[in-house]
Amino acid sequence: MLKGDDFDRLSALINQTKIQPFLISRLKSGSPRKINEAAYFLGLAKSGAARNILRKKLRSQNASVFLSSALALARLNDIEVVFEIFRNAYRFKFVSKDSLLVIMSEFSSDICEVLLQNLKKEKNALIQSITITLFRHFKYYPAGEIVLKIAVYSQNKEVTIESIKYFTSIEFLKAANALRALINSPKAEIRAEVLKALAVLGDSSFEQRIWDRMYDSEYEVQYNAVTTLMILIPGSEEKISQFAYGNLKDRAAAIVRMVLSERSIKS
Amino acid sequence: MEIISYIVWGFNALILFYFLLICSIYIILNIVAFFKMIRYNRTIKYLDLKRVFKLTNYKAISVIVPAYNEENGIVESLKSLLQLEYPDFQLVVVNDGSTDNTLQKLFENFSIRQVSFTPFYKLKSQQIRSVYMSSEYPNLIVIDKVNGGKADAINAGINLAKSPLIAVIDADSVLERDCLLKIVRPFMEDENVIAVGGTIRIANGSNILHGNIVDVGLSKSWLARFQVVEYLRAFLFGRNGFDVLNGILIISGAFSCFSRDALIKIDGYRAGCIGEDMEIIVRMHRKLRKENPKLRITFIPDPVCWTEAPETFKVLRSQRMRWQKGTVDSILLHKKLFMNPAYGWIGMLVFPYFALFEMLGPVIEIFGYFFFIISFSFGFVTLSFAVAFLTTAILYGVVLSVLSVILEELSFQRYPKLSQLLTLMAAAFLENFGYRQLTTWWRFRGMFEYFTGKRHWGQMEKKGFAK
Repeated sequence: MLKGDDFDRLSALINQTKIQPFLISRLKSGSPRKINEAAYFLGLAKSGAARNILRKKLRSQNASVFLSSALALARLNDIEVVFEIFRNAYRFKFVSKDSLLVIMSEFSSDICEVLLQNLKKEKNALIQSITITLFRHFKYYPAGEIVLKIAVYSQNKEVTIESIKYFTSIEFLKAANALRALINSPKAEIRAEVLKALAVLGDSSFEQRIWDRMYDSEYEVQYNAVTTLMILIPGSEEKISQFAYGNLKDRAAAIVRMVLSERSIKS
Repeated sequence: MEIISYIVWGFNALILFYFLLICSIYIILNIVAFFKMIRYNRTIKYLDLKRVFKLTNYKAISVIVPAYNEENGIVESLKSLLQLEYPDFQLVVVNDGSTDNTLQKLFENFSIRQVSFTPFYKLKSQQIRSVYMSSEYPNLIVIDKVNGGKADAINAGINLAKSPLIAVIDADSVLERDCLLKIVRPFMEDENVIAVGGTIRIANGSNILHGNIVDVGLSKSWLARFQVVEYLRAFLFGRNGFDVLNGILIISGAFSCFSRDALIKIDGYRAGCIGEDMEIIVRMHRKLRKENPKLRITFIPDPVCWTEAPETFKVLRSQRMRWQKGTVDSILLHKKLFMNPAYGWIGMLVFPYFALFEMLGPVIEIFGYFFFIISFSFGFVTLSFAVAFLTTAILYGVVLSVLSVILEELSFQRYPKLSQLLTLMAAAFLENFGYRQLTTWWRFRGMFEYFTGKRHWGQMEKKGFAK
């Protein structure tokens, strides 16, 4: 995305010269290639004059025209079309979550308010996940409570993990209790993410639960448990050291020894 | 005489049928691959991958580099690998009991220090002597172990790799900077993906600086140029085409990526196997996809990895014979898949294709040439038929190769100069006169050696990339 002087120069070049009508005429053409190129530059230069044509192009049967128009409208920060983009994206098999995320992240943070209102009634896990990722991207604090409700009840791993990352990014301390339950999730990725989050959101009341996770079946979880304990509990390093070198045959202790030896090299 | 005539005619008819069948399969693969490429290019065109990885819940990846006597290139290679673009990756170098100064070079250049270690998994491998970590590059670990071969070294690497995704590369592979971003995407998009392969390209003639391709070129050697066309054909059409059926049966060992859980479930690589890269994929189909047919082994057409092709007949022969032995080994080990409806497309189409055309192809082709000459010499076929048949066969080969070059030009355009394109077109034409027959002969010999008990790897000499 262009910013500063580069943006000013390009914007002036396109919007204040004959380039703009030229690009708009290409946008109206029937050639997907010409439309895509025109949409790209008009979007970069935030040419408001192209808004209505771009909106019509969202209904195009051609996926590349849809994507380039959606991207241009996002750069124009045309928030009214957010849900039209979601709806139309479903028509195309290969419009992935990634493509939608890239487009949505081009809007300004104003998009969060609209997405928050929608999230209250949204049932689609993909849109929930994209929405929460965008909240994290924009560090949008007001969505904390709603996302907390979703995180607790969602059966979708992606949604839960995105929620945990969001809580960590905005340091949403109210989420700590929800994490208490998720620390025993049957999904290892969730357990690992919870432990990472606890390093920011947790307190000493979590100590025993984190120690328990040192005996987890998954390495990532064990690793995160050790590192979180060291961050969260003051003076835990000594206790961890005793555990590591006092139980030479214990597998959890072996992993702790490894983490300690890695840390000593890194420091 | 009449009976002999019938036999010869019958065999010729069989060869003709075989030829028509393989042509039809290639045509279908070409069409399917063409549409897949268009779709893939549209998907990737609007993606700023670095932005995607900043936003999304990506998975960490451990890149395993087995190294045996790599003292000449290991430092440069690792420095290049450490520059890969990925937000969270670990580089695991496995020194597989090198007898040269590979480990010493790592000590000298990467400030590695011994760390306490415990394997997280229990895949079979030779004894690990020590594990080292770099104080300069915190994401670099070095495993020093007793020699056990490539598959064994990879297993040792997996046992100590921290990440849920595992990439395996050859120590002398040259990777594109954003290759990890590209190869991990299928895992992020679909949690049923358990393995991903990418396109391997020939680096001979390209300008490589500090382990990075700075200018793509073509070698002056026609042997290398033929291989460029061969690789384009194999990757752009072959693997792309089979991918649509979820029928990838081989992912190149030069660069492959797996879900660690899948590798652990099938007990890792099979030590001592000749074609370990094919065997592991066939085993994944056999063991994992039978339990869960939704699992996917897929392929991305992006050129992500560059490798050095042999430029001498001796080394090329050794390579092709080894590849053929690997194919035969993998197919015979998993013959249970052959025409087995329990394995879906793999059992009923892809595996039989590999058995019939990739494994037995050289035998049928060599006998075909032999019988054709006999038939012609004894007047069982007319001159006009012989010329028509040979012309069709050769023209068909030319068309396939030229189509690969055109598809490359339409999609990735890695050879932008007109002179390069013309050279590739010429190679696509010329490879059908001698080169193809020669490689068929080597594959035939590879098969012969396999069945007569000579199943060793053979020597693979590489010149190395000069810069």
